[in-house]
Amino acid sequence: MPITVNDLSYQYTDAAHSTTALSHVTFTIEEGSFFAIAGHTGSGKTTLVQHLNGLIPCTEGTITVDGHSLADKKERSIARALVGMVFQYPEYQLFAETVFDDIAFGPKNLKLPENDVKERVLKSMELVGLDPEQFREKSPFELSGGEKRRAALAGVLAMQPKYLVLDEPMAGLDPIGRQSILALLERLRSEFGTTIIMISHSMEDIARHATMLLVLDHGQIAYLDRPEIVFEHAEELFRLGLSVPQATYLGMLLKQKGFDVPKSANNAEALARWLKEKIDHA
Amino acid sequence: MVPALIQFDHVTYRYEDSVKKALDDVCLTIADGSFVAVVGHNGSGKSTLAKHINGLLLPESGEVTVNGLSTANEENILPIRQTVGIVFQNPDNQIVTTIIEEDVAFGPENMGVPPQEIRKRVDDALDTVGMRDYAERAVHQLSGGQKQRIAIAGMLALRPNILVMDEATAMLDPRGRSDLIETLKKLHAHGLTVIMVTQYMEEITDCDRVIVMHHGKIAADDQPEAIFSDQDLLKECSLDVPEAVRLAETLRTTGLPISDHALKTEQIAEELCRLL
Repeated sequence: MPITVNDLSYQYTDAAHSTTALSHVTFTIEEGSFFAIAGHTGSGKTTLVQHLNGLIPCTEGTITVDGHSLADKKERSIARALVGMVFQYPEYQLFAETVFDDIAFGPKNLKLPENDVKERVLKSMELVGLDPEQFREKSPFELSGGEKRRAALAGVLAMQPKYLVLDEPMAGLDPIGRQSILALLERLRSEFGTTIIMISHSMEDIARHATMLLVLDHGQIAYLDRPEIVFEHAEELFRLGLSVPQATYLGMLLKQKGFDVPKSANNAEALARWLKEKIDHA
Repeated sequence: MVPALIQFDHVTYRYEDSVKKALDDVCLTIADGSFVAVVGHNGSGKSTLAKHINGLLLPESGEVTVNGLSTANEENILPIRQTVGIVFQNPDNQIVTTIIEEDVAFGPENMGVPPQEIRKRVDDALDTVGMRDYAERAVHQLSGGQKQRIAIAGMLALRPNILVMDEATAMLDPRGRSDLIETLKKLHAHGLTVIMVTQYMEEITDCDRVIVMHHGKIAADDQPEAIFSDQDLLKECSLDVPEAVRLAETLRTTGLPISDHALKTEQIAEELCRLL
């Protein structure tokens, strides 16, 4: 069953004014998908995902997770247990004395037997690539930036969420750190069928991994489709303060110079083949 | 002889309680008017290097000099900090007041610059970063990218010769990042020395020099196209390449003669147009 968001609106209000963060947003996140969310700063991305696990209560519109409404008091706790949330710079929220205790915090709160807690922690550490022998007794604050990020992620994975929401999980990481997070997300999808919902600025990562792309603009849905279809609107995306993969951008530049680049040449390999053929026949 | 603008002479540094050297015998000269990028993976020493330039960190051994003044001498710190402005990663940690022009005026006020002169400096600085229209707005209404431009304006109002950007684009979105890079290029064209510590390889294609840090040492020091075509170096130092360079590589593998000089997609397009 999916996550459904139906006619969701949200306003931030302070003493002086109120700002519309989301306006009549409706969409569905299919189970097992890799659902990417993009938009310029202030487009409402973070506000949207904070609704998905009830962190921000729905004031207008409805959200259901596997049929459980976030508006209903009883169903809300079932729904929230299904959705794991990884915030921006999650390593700032590490707090326990050891890596093990930090990751165990969530499962312990579920009142699971001690052995189950341990099993979940060790499994999560293995998933994120932190060797339990080496890391379990370390203080989270002794870890490098990339290791801290993975420890924080392990804490969310230990809750075994069916839907994993990540707000710019690669921000500030080096290339190796970024690749290891992306590889982990792919593994969660294929091994456990976890649905991935990821806010990202990297159109290259979105093109390579996402099955659906939602583009927000001023709190409204600008595009919702498979990434390669959304990227056909390159000029409009630039206008919205976003970018497109470089292969798409190259196709756009060549079109502007009068070449009839076909729609099918929408990734680097396909574009390269088309160009080679064209030059060989010239 | 005129002393070099920035000179690192066998600089070694370790963070407290760490046995690992964050900087390990680094020797480096940066000339006036350069546009230098410092890259490297997390923990390579690139930010540590940046923080030595204005004496925020002091060498454990060796010496850092700016215009011939050593950072080790406490009396030099004030003049050095008037020469070197640093902008850090998190814009929210660098803004001290609520109104934008007050924030930009904060530095010169503290230095006892006369009021009329402050007014002129604030206006000039806001003009340079393209934020003059926002002078009387509240800081909290700005985006991250705009806040970083205000942080830069605050530095410019101190009239530094050197601007160090310590991963200052890391928390910005792509538009914020490219706007900021354009601002830096403009400042460099007006004679400012710019040193940019960054993770993002797209940002360094316009620099005239790239310093690659690896385990606290300088692993390479060359022009961007030389760095991006050195596969062994990229692998050894776990560096990324700009997406455009990756794209050019795919095109070359298919048999299209794209040169090593094409570091941007626009340049690839130009080369292709000559072939088509």
